[in-house]
Amino acid sequence: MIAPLLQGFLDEFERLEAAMPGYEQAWLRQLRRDRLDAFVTSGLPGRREEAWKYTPLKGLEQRAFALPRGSALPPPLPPPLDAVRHRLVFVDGRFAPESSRLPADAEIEFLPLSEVFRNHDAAARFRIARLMGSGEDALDHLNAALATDGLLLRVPAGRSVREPVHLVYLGSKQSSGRAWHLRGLIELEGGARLRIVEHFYDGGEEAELSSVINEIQLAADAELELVRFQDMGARSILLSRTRLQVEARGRLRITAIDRGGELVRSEWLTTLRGREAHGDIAGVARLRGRQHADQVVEVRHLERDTSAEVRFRGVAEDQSRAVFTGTLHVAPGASGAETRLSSRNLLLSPQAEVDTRPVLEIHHDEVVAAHGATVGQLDPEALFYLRSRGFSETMARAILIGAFLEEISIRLPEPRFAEWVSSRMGLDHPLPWGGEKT
Amino acid sequence: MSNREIHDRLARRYEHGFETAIETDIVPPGLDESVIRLISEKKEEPEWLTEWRLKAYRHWLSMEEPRWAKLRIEPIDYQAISYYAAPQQKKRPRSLEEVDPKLLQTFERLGVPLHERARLAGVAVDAVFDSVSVATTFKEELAAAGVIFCSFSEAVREHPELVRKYLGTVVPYTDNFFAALNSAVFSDGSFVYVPKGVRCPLELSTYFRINARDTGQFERTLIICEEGAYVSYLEGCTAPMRDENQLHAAVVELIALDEAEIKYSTVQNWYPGDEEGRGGIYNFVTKRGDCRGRRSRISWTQVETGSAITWKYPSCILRGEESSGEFHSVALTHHRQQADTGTKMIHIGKRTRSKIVSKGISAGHGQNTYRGLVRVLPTAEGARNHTQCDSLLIGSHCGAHTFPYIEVRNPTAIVEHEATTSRISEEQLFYCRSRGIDEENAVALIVDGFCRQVFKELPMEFAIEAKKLLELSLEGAVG
Amino acid sequence: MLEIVDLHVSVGGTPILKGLDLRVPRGEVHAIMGPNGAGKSTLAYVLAGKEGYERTRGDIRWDGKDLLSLAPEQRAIAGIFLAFQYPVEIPGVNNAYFLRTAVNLKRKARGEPELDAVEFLRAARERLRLIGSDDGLLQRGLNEGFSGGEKKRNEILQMLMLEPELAILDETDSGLDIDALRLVASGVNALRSPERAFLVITHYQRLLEHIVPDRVHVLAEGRIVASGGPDLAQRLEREGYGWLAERRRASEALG
Repeated sequence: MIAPLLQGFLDEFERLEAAMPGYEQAWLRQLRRDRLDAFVTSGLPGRREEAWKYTPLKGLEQRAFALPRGSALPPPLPPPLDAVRHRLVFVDGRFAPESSRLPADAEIEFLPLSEVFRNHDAAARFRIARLMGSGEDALDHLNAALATDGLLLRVPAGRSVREPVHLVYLGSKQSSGRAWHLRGLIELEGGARLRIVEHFYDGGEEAELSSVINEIQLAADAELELVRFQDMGARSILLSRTRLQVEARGRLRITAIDRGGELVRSEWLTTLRGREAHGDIAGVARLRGRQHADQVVEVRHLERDTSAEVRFRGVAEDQSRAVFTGTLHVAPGASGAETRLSSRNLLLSPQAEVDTRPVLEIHHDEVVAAHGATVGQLDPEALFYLRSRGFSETMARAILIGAFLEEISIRLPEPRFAEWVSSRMGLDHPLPWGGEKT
Repeated sequence: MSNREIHDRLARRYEHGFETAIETDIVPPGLDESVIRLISEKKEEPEWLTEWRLKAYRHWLSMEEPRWAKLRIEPIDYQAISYYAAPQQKKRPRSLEEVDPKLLQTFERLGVPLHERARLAGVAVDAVFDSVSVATTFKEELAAAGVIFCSFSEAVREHPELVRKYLGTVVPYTDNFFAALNSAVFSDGSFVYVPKGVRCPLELSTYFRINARDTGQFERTLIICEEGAYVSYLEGCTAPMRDENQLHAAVVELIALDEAEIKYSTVQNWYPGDEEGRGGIYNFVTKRGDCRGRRSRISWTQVETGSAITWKYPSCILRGEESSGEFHSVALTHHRQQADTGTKMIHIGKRTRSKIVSKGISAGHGQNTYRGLVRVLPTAEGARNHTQCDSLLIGSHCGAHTFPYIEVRNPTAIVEHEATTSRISEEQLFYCRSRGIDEENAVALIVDGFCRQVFKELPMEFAIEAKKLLELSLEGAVG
Repeated sequence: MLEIVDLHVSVGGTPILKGLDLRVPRGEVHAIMGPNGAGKSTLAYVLAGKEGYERTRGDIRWDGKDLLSLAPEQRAIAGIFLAFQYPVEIPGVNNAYFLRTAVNLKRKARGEPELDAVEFLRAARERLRLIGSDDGLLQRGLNEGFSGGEKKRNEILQMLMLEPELAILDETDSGLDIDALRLVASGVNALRSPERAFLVITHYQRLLEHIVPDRVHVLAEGRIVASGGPDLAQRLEREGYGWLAERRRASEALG
């Protein structure tokens, strides 16, 4: 018997297929059906699949999710997004033009994927066919079959976009048990520069499943800074995958913070394809309650003199589980590659768990490669010191956790945004006479 | 270069590649229940053991071969292997004098001290040739101290109650594919029992030799240390050079009770195959120590230079409070060798400690993988682990890989892991050469330095042998 | 006698030494001074045989033998010793073991009996006293975690043990305080003999107050541009290297 989740998606697809954007395109129709077939055949990954060892999704197959219908009203945007100049908002897996702004002088080419599905020339078709066809595991299949929207974004060669572009992914939570999917492509042409801030959040405590797969391509000399703040609701399941390709001398800087969600998988799959390409990837998982977050970073060094630095920090409280897998791969011939990774974790409760897997795969001798991982606690001496200076235990812990995360949180741009993130993470440091917030 | 010369050169590199011409009692290839009954019968085993073997066999039939993430491996035809081969001896030798001189010569040639040298070295040796133990030295001296050191077959005959009590309690036959196969067909191995409070007066050593063609070697070792006892055990292994692969699937079980300590050292030098990767031993071994008692200690030290493929993870189950486990490893792969080795440290008891030092050396087209698990269970209050994992690459066609798994479920545990990858730098080589040391010796010196932390865990004799082996195995790796 | 004739050396295609001439007879101490980037370390490395230093013209002879055709280890056995400016760390290799190996390789080549561990230790201790160190240095990994000063002392210890015939000291004074400098100098002075030649490469004159050279040469832009007695070093210390450039420009203008 076919599992409820698979059956549910099959039924939903059958009901809604004709209404999907681009249904009239035979190639796209076929592609969606093939990928749905492939998904149903493989099913969700279980514990025996190495990449999903600590985050088996098989159990989810017993639940069912419906695809969103009609357009939902977006929940109010969090305050730091009020004043931003460039923002692209997606609600329940659909582009929401009424909430988005992108002035014409932004020097960025943007189109919602749904629009391109309906109407595209040969060149565009090539791009989106590749986008929808990429990847070969269950998550890729599921997302490609059911994603009806997303973003296509391009910064032309040599352009330097001054204002960051905020990408807002949110669930309306107007009804329980919805599933939404987005797929996107971001291209930086030669020498282009862009800053992106991704926001993931939703409007309630209903169960929800979402998947977001983005491909990001940096041509030679392009630079991208990407910050993510993921703050989904307590019953949200988010499966996100970002594939990044960096050509010669391209520079990538990612800061990814996972704070919300019930079950979250965040993948950053990076390929340094050109000489001297550089990736700097840092992240935080701050987990409480029954949260489970699985952060995956992979850096593949294909060319000479590529370099990478990966730093992740996990904090697990209550019954939460922080999982991290970081793979550094150096291909044969990638002389002069330098690659480092650290995974440091605080395990703060007897019911919590930390699992970390730092992996090195080195196929060349002329390289510098190292990784380190630790799991430990807050320093009791430091806790005592702070308390002896009048801080409550709660505050003292918040201060020390804040200090543990500082080398990553310091990377957050814009004080207003940083403050917001910090308060959402319970890391604000009130002075002792200023009254305690808990 | 003539074939003869080539052969000579290869033989120099693998010094133990000779074959002993001796009549062998060999069971035809193939495996079914009748073969298992036959092995059991030849060894005059009690009914319960035959049954245990058969249960293991039936379970094995239901299992699948593991899928190796990092190994390229030719499929193994389990019906083409002979599961029992023994040198023909007229009767079971009661002393060294009764052992076939050809066998003694073989071990003499391998440098295994069975005679006077044994006395000088102060090491008691159990020598295993193909499927059976041919000689065990120093038995009387050990017996005086209350230590039992004998072949596994003898233990089954003489101390069945001990064997029955402990066999399969650390590595059950259901554990994994190769452990199940071993449980069904194991032929011989060593048995050690150190009674309460006894510090074993000698180093114990087993020397494994595969000689016959188309056979597998499936030995089983069981070491029990009672309260407060101590033993240091060493094993060495070699095989002739053959073009086809041979399977070696051993199981080792260690049991340490309260305050007991077991040091287990291996210098593994099975035939690695030739430069193109033809032949060589498939070394698929399950080794596990159970620190059952409080403050018990188990320490694994291994130097792995041989075998075409090595797949082994000597592990410690840290059950007793304040028990400790250590793993010190040097693994070298040259030419087409592949090694996937590491350890598992399972922290169950309070204030348990573990330490892992792994040194991988890859040369030629060798692929070297460290795979390790550190698991801290909720009960393991105050557990500590420190892991250091270093790889040295020599040449640009080899690979070094590190796959640690760290799983922590106790908020008072501290686990630290670090890994580095490096190569021998031009600066280091030049520095040595400018002090008069030529390139090959400089490489040996630097590699020796890289392995120092592990070598110092080995008894002196073994440390020297290990160093020599490494130098020999690396011949031609640079330049 | 060390003889360098019209030596041209390139590194990665860039010419560094451009026609260097130098003669250092046995029994003498010669100092090479010069501004940064003049090619001082290049000269040291070429003498020791480091890879990547390409001789494009000229010769180096030691006692009439062609030095450049020898591998670095052959030069060491022949009695050439370079005290490195930045000695490399080789983790895990015991310092005493390394030094004893090097000493015995040389003794073996000379047909002398090898030193056993006890004899070696006795000899090493004597020399350690000379440079104000103790056994501790010997028991550690080769330069592993050594401070700058410890590395330099270890180089001098090696020199004292290996008793070279031509010793090249590459900026051995850099990074040493005055007490350490004195000890290092006393080590060198202890080794001075009619059989030995020294080439002391330094940027500053202060080392030469303690190791008084027979000759001082100034290396600039890849050539010896001036030579003289110990007073030349003092003049350089007072007036810097500027006046030499002046003088050269003047002579080039005339020529």
